[in-house]
Amino acid sequence: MPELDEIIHQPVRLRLMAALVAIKSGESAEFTLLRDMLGVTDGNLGAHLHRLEEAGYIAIEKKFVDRKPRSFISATEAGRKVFRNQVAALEQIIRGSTGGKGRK
Amino acid sequence: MEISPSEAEKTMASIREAEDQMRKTLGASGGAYQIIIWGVIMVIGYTLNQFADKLGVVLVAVPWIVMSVVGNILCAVISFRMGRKFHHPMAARIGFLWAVFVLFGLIGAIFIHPTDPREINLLIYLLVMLWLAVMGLWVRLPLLWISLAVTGLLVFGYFVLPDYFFLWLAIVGGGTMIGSGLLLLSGRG
Repeated sequence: MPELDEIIHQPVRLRLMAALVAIKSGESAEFTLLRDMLGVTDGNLGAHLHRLEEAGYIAIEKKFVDRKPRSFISATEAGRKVFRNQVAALEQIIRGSTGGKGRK
Repeated sequence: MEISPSEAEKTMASIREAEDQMRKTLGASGGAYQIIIWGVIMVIGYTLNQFADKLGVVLVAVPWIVMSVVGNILCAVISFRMGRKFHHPMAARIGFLWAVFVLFGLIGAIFIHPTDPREINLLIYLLVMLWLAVMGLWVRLPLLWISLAVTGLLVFGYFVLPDYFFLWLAIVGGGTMIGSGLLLLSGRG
């Protein structure tokens, strides 16, 4: 039975993962695109990205675009799997079959 | 950690919203604007072609040249801007592939040497559709289905409606491209 993952359950991180999983594997989205999409500050997004990167759910790649450094973020396979499990767990809670219990 | 079903529903709604938002952005980055631009150019250009006898060569050729130049510039600017938002491992190859297709198209035209305007335009269209099909396989699968659908319709028009083929290219070819671009922009493509 899928369990809730506390790391990505945080609202911004969950929306971030949802956005990244919507991109095909191997593709990545630029930092400012995600910042604008989520409506968060640079610092806030940076902290959430750091947390997700530490957990191995995302990968951050620095590239030079127009001679400026830019960060491109993608969901890792582990991150995609955790996200799928999270969605499955949420759907089970909605159906009332899990009792809302998840991993601490 | 425990959450209620209503909290879970709210969370799922925010997930769907984020996914939808990203799909729409991806649609815009996946060639939607470029497809719409060329769709509009084809609607105008081929409508002029259909009435070339009445309009004369200049009134057909000049708009085509202007629209092609403007279209290429607009597409290049859009691709450049979108390339800043997403990174695709195939991005450089996609641009290079377009140049290769144009080169092979020119070489092919020298040897095959089509003289019928309908054949020439169908060949150009097929080359664009082949490129779009490859884009579909590499980048966004919906582009492959769009390419196959438009190609099928164009071949149908070539054989079944020879007298109205340019109008067919304008309405079916250009119209399908505009509709497909809008579909990609909506995030459903």
